[in-house]
Amino acid sequence: MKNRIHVLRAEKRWTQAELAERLNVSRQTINALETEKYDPSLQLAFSISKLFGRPMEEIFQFEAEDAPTQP
Amino acid sequence: MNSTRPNPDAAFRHHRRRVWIAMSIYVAAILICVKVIKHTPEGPLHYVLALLPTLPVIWLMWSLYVFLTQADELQRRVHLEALALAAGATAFLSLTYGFLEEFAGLPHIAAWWTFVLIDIVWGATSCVLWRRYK
Repeated sequence: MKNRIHVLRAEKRWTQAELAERLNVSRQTINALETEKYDPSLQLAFSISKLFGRPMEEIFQFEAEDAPTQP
Repeated sequence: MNSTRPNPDAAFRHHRRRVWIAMSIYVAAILICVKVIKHTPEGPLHYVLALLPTLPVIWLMWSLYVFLTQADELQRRVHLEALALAAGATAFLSLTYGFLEEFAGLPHIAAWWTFVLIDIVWGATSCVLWRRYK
């Protein structure tokens, strides 16, 4: 799943540590989210959306390859 | 997100500090107990001395539990996955060696080595799993 967390964080001029503090997650988790190596839970995605004041679909882009494959 | 939960980075730092303290007490307790037990006549005191080094291990387990309740979702995922792999590997290795010891005459290894083994495998699997997210 693609996301714009890195861009939105840069707009706010926050460091990864500051964003981690505001979301109450670790800095490693912010890094994993920004490098798109980890997809957040629905709860964390809502928290990110609320923090940046943007709708979720503006932050996260779901792509065809992210969909679970049918057996 | 639970706003009363302490920051996961701070929670991990606290846990790591507690691990170092607990392990230092554990090693010191083992060294002291081994010396003292040699000069102690057999009896109930032997049981007390033999079990004394497990006290810091109980503290360690509690610290781990506290950390896992304060960790964020990714930390929890990595640590629990690593712990599951470590538990599986330790169970398999201790079972395999148990058979070799019982039926092939390999030398006896004390049961407390499973604690050391699970810790080593857990540390290694944690490092490997974190690489996925870096």
